Amino acid sequence: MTTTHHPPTAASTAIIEARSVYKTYTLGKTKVPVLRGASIKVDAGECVAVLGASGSGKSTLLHLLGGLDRPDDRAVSDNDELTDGGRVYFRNEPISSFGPARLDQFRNQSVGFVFQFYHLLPELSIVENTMLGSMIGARKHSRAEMKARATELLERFGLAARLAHRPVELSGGERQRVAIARALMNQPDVLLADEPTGNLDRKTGAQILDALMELRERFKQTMVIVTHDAATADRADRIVRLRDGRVIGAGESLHSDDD
Amino acid sequence: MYQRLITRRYLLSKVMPLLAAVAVALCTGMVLIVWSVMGGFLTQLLASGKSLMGDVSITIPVQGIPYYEELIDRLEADTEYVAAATPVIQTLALMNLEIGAPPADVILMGIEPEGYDRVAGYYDLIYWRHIDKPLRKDKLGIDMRLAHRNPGDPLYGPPGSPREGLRTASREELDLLYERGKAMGVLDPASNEIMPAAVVGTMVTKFNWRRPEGFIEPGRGLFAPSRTITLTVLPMSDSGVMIEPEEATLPIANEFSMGVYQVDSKYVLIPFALLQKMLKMDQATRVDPDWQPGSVTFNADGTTSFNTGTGTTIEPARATTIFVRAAEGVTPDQLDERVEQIFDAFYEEKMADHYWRPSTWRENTVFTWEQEPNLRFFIAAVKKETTLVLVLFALISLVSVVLLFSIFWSMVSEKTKDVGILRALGASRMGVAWLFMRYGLLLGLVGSIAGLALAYLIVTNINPIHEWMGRALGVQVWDPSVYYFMDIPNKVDPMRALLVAGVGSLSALVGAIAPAVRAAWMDPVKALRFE
Ligand SMILES: Nc1ncnc2c1ncn2[C@@H]1O[C@H](COP(=O)(O)OP(=O)(O)OP(=O)(O)O)[C@@H](O)[C@H]1O
Ligand SMILES: [Mg+2]
Repeated sequence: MTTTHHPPTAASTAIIEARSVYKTYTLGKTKVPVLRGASIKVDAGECVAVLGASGSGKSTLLHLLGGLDRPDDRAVSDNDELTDGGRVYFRNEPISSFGPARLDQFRNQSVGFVFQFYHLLPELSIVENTMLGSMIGARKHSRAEMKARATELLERFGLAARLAHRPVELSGGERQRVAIARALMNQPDVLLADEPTGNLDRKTGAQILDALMELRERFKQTMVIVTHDAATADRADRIVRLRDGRVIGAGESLHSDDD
Repeated sequence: MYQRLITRRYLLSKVMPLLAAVAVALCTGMVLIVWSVMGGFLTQLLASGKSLMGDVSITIPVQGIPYYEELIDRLEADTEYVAAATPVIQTLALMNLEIGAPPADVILMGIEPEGYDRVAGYYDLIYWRHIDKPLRKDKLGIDMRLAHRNPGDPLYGPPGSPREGLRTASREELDLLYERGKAMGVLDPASNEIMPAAVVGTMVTKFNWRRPEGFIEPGRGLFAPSRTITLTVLPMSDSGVMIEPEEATLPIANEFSMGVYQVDSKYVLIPFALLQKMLKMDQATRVDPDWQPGSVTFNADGTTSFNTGTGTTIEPARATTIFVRAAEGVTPDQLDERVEQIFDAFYEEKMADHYWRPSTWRENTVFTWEQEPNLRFFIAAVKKETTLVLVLFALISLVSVVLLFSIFWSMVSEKTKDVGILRALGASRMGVAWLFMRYGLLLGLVGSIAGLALAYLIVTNINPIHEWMGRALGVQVWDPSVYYFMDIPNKVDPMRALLVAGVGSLSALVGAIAPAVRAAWMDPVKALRFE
């Protein structure tokens, strides 16, 4: 095990941080509490793996970090105190205080998402899918520049020959590489990957993981990788675990209760 | 920027947008076709009702209106309301033709051609006259009125000519027929006098048949204007007592066509003076049987007076009807009110002593063309049909709107996940809404333009299409005797087209934008999970 343990440091070093967030889903009349005071802190250049059983709320936590979802407004803590639902901070700024435009900008510029199910637009070609984030964002670049960068990214992921193809014409692993290229398009501060290998066979998964690790090595890309696969988690700088709606201290033995 | 790219990709990539555009085209096209045909139906009806009798008529059926010339003068003096007025006599008559059909009842109308033209545009109704250009549908140019016969040619078209085996006409003949129609008279070569002549509706004699090209063809040897018509009327005294039937045999000067089957198959026009005479409505001398020359009358106030004079009174000439045309900008209802006032005053002065006036005379005497007894039956029927059609039309439109809305709703709902992806990538709510607004609007516009084109093609060609259906499929939907008109209305009103296209596009737009807005306003995670 090569987990590097970072002791908690001053808030200023964190790029993204969730502090005691609560998330409850309401299904009809029953309330399903998923996150109950979960906290996580990610420093610049760190690669954090989030481990947890299926349904433990890993994706939910990642969505909160990326501003795709909001923590509960109000929550009851374990010792029956009424609290707010917690906050997510981006460079020490609570994203709940962002206005809609700032939040859009945050999603567009500061985070890059990789989803388990790729989520590519089926009508768009591979290059167009990759360019999408920069097309949506502020028009800093010309279309040609965007295309050049997208092509370069896709080439890096070994997709040079498939630029004009549609997502359906690609294998799962190829699609996931496109999704990673798309997430990197705007050079995000944090890459948030939700089980990037979960849908792939072992070999392809390993390739994807290699690609991500290369990013970490070469570009010091900050990333959070959600997984329930211990082997994947092992390659991260640090592992945190979700259980009972909370993040349990890093560096604990992973193998005892995840199987 | 991304909106344009994605709209284009959406439009080009799938069957769904094509189907949606086709749905828009069909809905807008269908609504416009129904509206044009049914709307055209009413407009045509209104136009033709007016062209039979002007805007307002004054009618006292049997007794007639005495001193009608003076009434007309009074009416025409009121130039603010009245453009023209003309006397008419209307009666039922029995018609006999030299050959063919058995005797039939017709509505006989005595008119003064010039006055009737000023009130109802009579000259334009005359059918047999020279025309320069063939009708649009008459591609071969075979209409008899095109004057195919040159001097010296045989009466029936020789082999190889456009009217092979059919009656032809020369320019001179057609011009003469038109003059005869206008004058309602035929010059008798023997006496060198002008004999009064009849102008009959094109469908009265049953000699003619309607060609698909939109004109009328006389049956072989059955050209009405070279034949005579015998009309029998029943004159009545002004007190309503029947006198001996009166019969007249007249040459047919020409035929007229209003395009309304009920009129063209029922009406025969003859000169006013002739019908007046036949019905004994002309000026007459009445002999007082009790009169004794030189006798003394003891008056109620105790005085006495000697009876002088001849013992006769002059019965004034009468017309049953006066047609009145409204001055520019005056509606039939306004004119109706005005004419009632004028007639009221006239009645008090001129008629009150001689004529018994029933309490309902007002409603039964002065009326607008819509209330005219001979037109009323079909106007009322058509109005009822129109209401029904309007209800159906509203239903069709509603169904179309809901349909388009649903199609676009489900089409865009299918894209909810895309909305989630775009939002996750930082697209704003408005940005995503705008994307689908473009999409819906583009499809709506493309679809409705196609729909308009389709409707235009079908409506303007509806008569040939109908005839083709009749020939090829044996389906004859439009029977002139049932639908009043010879042709199916075939005009598209641009304003209606615009409105239909607008509402069609709007339904598509709203249908597209509602689910897009819904998706854009949810948290992206929800949109991503949406199935
Ligand atoms: N929109 C929602 N409505 C209701 N329940 C939800 C919703 N989203 C998630 N949940 C529930 O919350 C719990 C946590 O879901 P989450 O997707 O975060 O789990 P996970 O740890 O990512 O699981 P997995 O490893 O299977 O992806 C699950 O029980 C799930 O059913
Ligand atoms: Mg998950």
